[in-house]
Amino acid sequence: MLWPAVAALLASHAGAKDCVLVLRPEGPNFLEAVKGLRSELGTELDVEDAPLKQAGAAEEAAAAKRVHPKAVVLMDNGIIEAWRNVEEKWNDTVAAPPAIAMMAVRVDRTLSGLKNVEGISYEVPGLTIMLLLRSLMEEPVQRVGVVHTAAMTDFVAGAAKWLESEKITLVPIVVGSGGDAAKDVRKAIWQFQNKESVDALWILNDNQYLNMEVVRKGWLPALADFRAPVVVGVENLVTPRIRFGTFAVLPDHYGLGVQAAGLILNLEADGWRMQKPGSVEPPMAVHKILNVKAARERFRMRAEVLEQMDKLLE
Amino acid sequence: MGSRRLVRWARYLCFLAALPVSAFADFHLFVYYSTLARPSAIQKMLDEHCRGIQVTVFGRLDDFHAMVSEQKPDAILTIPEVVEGLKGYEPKLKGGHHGSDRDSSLLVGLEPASSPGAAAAVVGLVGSLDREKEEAALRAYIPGSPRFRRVTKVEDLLPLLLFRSVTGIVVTHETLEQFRKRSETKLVVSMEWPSSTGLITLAVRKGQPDAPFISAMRTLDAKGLEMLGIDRWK
Repeated sequence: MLWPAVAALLASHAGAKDCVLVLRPEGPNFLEAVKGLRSELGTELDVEDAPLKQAGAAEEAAAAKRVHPKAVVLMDNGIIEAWRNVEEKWNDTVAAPPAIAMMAVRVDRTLSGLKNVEGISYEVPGLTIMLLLRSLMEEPVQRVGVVHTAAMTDFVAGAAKWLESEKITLVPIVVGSGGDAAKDVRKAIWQFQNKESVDALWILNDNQYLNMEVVRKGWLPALADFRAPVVVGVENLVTPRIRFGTFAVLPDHYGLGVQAAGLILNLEADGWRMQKPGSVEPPMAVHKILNVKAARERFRMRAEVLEQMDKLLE
Repeated sequence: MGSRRLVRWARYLCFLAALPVSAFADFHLFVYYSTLARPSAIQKMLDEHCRGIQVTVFGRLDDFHAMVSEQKPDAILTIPEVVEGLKGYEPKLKGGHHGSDRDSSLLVGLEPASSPGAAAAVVGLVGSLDREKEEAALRAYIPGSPRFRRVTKVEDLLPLLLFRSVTGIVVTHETLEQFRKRSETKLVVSMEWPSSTGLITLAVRKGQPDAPFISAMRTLDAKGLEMLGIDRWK
């Protein structure tokens, strides 16, 4: 149990500056986000970082109250859930500080029922991804196939709405609802290739169809002859060793920290009163990885854009 | 010379040729400059031109500051406002673009153009200086009481605007041109003013020879200069 240690750390906080408390799991990605926060807030606010081994509830409240944070940053689903209890108990006496939720799966859903929390989603929006892909390709990007599970239908519908303004149509196919996800995947790819004539394929992150078995039995055989670029959300799937992803777009964790800092500075300017509790921003900063070999095979590249990639795999 | 000896010499020469330039580096150059080109691409370009100089390109100003303080490189390549904040470095070459030593800043919004001086105006920018100084400089040009949102990379400004997290973004002409290639959404310029930050500058640590750095920078071709956001050295 790490909470007593956290409480001790926070109790030692005696700075004159207002404090922002970060409750997060351990791990390099979370630490990177804290660096981003500190880079923006460090000169005027104390950023008290509390890496935790597990999400608690009562102790969390105690720890947080000792430093009287003006705002709290909550990272990961478990900690956001734990904050739900904290916020409820806190409200008995005095309002809980406003919180920013981030680096969690479907932040928009986790905020339901929370009173004083806004968030930054972790899923990179389709608009950001498709504009980056468009900048890479000489060919037009007008129809994009998207593979997703039923659970992500609302996310895809939201993405489709934003993409309308860019004259890009999403063609969604839900997979994994039956018993054989690999078969669903093969069928979906065949349909995109032969019936829908999509300019690109977007694969959302989901363990239901991106596990080892479905990759081996479904994706790899289906994508062997697929002609359009394939956009993924994890680096492992753009490696040139396998014929899978062409372009990966991932959240930039440092940038997420900077973005959260922007929301905190807004809170400060508003006297630490949250103007739009429950609102969720998409992540603005992304990390771009291009499989150059696959890209050359699947479209005509704008060479000058290569210098804008974070990583080129050849 | 016997043939076996010749082969040995040939192998040795191949070995030397294969070594990275940095293996011979006597001088160190640290670089920070915010542009659409990623640090890895700028690093590759500078490595090709800066023989005898070990180049390190930073993607974040914080990291650049920390490493300059710790390692005190022989020279730095960054904007003049950052050079001014570091003790012990003297500008030796200044970048020029379209005949000027600073770009124009554009305030760009979505159509219909939002009033830059509106009470609810929120302006996005790439943070490359102390936040308060940077915002104060912008307030001199943007009327009203705008709020600011900073990002770390130039490219992040486009989604910030398209998702309506801000009402306007501050960019250069070149960045706007790139954004217009990416997006079909109409991007509208509502204001233009001389940028509060200068173009890239080469500064050398006092007491260090400047010739190796100046001559290396002079070898940059048009493409290399373009990656640094300039078209010539002054």
